[in-house]
Amino acid sequence: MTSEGSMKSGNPSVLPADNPLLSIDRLTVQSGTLPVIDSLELDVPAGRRVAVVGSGRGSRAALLDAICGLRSATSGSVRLNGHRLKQAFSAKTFWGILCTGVLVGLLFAAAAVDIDRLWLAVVKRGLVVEEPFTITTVGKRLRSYFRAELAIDRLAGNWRIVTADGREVLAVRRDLSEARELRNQMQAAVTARRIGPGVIPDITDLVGDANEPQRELLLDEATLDRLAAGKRRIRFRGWSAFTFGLFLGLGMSWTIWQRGRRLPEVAASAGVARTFRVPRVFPAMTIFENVLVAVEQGVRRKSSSWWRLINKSYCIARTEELVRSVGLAHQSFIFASDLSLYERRCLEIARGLAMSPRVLLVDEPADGMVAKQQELLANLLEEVCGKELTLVLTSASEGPLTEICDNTVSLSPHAIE
Amino acid sequence: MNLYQNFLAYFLHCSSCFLHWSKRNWETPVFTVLALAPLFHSAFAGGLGGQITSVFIICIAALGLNVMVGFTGLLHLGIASFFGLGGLFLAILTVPMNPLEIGFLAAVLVSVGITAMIGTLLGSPTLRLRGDYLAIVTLGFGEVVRVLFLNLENVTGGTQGLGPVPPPGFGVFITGIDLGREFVVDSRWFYYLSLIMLFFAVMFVRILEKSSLGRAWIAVREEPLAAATIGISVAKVRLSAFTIAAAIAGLAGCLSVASIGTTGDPNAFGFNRSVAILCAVIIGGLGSVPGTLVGVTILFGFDIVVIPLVDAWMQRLQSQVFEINLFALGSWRLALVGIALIVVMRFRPVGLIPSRRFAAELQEAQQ
Amino acid sequence: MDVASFLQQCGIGITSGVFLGLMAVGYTLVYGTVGLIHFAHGDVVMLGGCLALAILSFLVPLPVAPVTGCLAVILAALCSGLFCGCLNVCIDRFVYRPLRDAPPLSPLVSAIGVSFVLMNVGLVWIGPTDRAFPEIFLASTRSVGGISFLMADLLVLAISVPPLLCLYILLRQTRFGRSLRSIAAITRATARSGEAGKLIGTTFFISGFLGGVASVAAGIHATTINYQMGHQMGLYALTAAVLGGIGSVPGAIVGGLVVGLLRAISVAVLGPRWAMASVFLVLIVFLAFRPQGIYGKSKTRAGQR
Repeated sequence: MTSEGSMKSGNPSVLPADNPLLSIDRLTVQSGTLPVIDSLELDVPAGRRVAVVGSGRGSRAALLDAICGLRSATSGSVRLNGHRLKQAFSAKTFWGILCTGVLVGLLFAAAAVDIDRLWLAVVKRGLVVEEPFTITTVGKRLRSYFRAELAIDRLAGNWRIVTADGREVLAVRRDLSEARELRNQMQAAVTARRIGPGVIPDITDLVGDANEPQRELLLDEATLDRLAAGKRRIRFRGWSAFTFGLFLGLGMSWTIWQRGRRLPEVAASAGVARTFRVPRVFPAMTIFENVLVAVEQGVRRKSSSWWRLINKSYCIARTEELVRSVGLAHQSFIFASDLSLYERRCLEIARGLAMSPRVLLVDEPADGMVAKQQELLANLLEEVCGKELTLVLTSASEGPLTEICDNTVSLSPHAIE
Repeated sequence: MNLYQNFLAYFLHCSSCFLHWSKRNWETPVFTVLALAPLFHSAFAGGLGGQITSVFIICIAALGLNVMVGFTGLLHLGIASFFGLGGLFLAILTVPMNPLEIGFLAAVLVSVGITAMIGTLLGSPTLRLRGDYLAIVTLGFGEVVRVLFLNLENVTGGTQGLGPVPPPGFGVFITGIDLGREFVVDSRWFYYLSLIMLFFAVMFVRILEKSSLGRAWIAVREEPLAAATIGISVAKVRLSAFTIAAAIAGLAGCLSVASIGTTGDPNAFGFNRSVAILCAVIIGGLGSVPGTLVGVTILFGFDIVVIPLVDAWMQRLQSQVFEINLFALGSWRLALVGIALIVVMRFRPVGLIPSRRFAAELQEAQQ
Repeated sequence: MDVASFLQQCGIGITSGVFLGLMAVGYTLVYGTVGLIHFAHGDVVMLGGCLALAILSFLVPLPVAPVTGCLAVILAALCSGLFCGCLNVCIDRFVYRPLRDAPPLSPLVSAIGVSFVLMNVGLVWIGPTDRAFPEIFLASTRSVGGISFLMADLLVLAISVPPLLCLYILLRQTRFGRSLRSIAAITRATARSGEAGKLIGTTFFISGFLGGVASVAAGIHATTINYQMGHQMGLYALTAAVLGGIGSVPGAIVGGLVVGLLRAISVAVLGPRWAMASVFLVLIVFLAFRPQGIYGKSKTRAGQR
């Protein structure tokens, strides 16, 4: 065991290595306004075991929390194998955010142009009634609604012309071709009005059939104005709401994604496992399940071995092996809530190893253990971790657990919990 | 694939256990008795059958809620809105007023799909919130859905509800019998339909519970922090529970609308219904499938089946004795349910049939 | 919408925001001490409104002079406050206290049960329809600079602002306030001790008192009450509490004002049908950006329950 000299505040404690697995660069973590870790530098080569001692318990916990993403660092970075432990901005993220934005925008647009009338115009009322409603006509009808085009509608053997949102019955005709002709004329008139003063077609005979005492409306200047204004309004509302919703959706999904970038699951899937000072086992699961759930996650993470998820026997065999290796095989089907502190610690180690990590962070394994248990735990760790696994453990003092480590790093005691 | 295998295994297990009933295999006897009951009692063809059918349907919705509240530990106060949404989409797709009019089975599939999608959409911005905040968001969503139902009259039919929804098998003739008509005339058809669906729902929830997803749910419920450090994406796992809960509730809503024939008053999908279903789940025991069924049967069976009977009986009694109607149980129904909830929680806070997991969790909390 | 009517809507919004804030403080105080969403709070408030209605109909059978009317309203507010406070303390004593170390959802179910019972009591008390609050001088309006406002709204402000000021003084200046603010970290173990029990009882009384005052204010503002009022207002108040950051008293008041303003503006712009939907939409969007609410503390470690 080689013990490096204790570091002064802010001084780098770089273990000699060409190609460190875990490298911490000027890491500062603040608790409130007080820094608990102040520009710490630490490089851990692959396969090395490092014990972190000294300083307050809070500082040591903060270091591990910052590595595995439970606490965000104020400044500085943590890299595993040269990559930051942060979700990368991938094409998938981009498309996800964009799709969410567009979806929210569409929802807003639909709400702004009045879902009720939209439904009436698209589904319940035929814009061109001789066509039966099919999925293919939906797009056409939607477009006519957003353009506020006039529609022809069948009513008791008659054809009437309504505004696209079904609001206003304009004229009634007996014959479909007549009605269509009429609609086109009116459409042209409204368009002309919208563009500016133009030639208004002759629309003097826009009243209904003389024999039919239906609701009739003379298409005068005021009506044309109103229709043109309606067109503008629907378009304006739709587009502005869409734009607003788009930006809102983009902002929301961006914020949510940003918040989820540094979560522990990201670090975990990069290969950082950890245990806690007060072991956090899943009390309502059996020991076997506790490990199995982690094994399954480990298998799921590696897309190459997807078949192992289907083939349960691999997961079960691996779980059995892990449970046996930490010495809990004889009670693997009791609930974890019945375990003692020492057993919980063993279980946590097994669970941490289950996802075959590259770095295992062990938080204060000696806490609450008598000397004998510490020795047992040290032997256990040495045995199960093997030579390849990188180990970072924290400890309040030197003891059997720090002795299994290759290096001891002392945090400067300037920041107290 | 995984699901399918589990499903098959479970099915084989069920059929092999059919004759050997044990304490752990309660489904076989319960469902056998329920399936045989209409053969021995003619009242199932009439009103009683309809009432029991609605209890079954609420059981399905409660199973969905149990996935969310029981397995994943997220408080959801708007389950009835998903129930209502499922029913609404079914009605929109099948009602003759609308031009879509697709078949029953396809409509159920589509509406369950849409309901699940809405659940996902609602869940994704909110699932990183603290538990209580999520409860408020779901509660608010329930109210928004109710308001939408009331206000979008052309889409939903407003306070009248959308109807008439053609019964399943409408227009299908088997050996000269109109299946749709049979569904309307004899409530045993719906009884069996909802019983089968309930059976599938129970199996589905059981399989999920035993799958890797189910374990991830429980891990997230127990220790979200530790679950995250072993690589479980907490938000995604919660979102999956949210989606599945929405889908199952949507299925229940479809059945309900099909059996009633209309979506009915949207106020029935409001806060009170959501909370009643939640109470049924908690009374029965969180995370326990038989508990959920028992809770719903007690709470809603009391509400739907017992109270009308007792009221009719009391009315007769009172009109004979006092010649006036002094007291109707129906007007104190809410208070009775409320007192029942308080009393059950006072003396059995873990629920009537707590799951073993939940007992272990409680023991941990008290240490 | 022109400026004058916008300002008028803002006035209405602030008025309703103040009593929503009063109710939200009730939710937030209880949540801060026992960590429970007190679902029955809205229905407690509704019963307070029923009591105030009874008192006012007894005291003011005929149109009376404004001063007498005001005094009657203040009396009613005090009575209903005391009543709601005592009711809340009873609910805590007989329903919540036995469940202090039960699983976390059990008290919630009990709260829902209490809410059902109270709602039913209200239903039997005032019947299923809307009941009009007696008119004191509700109809008269004043106009300042083109903005007309109801005298009744001034009355609402007059009865709901003093309790808020009292609460502020209580929380800032007294020993009780200090211990209340420090109790937020109360654990289940200490919740059973006598001192904490007393503190919790006082909290419930204060939240009930504020709720009772809010019920009178709401009755005057809306001119009617019904047995479902508690549910509706409770929902808005809960939204306000969450928006402000549940557990924080200033947050609850600010949240109440925000919700009141939002509601008034969406009533004016979109129509009353969409008020609730728009308020909740804003809540969801806001929480996506700032999950801890306006004044809530951001959690330092993810997943701390």
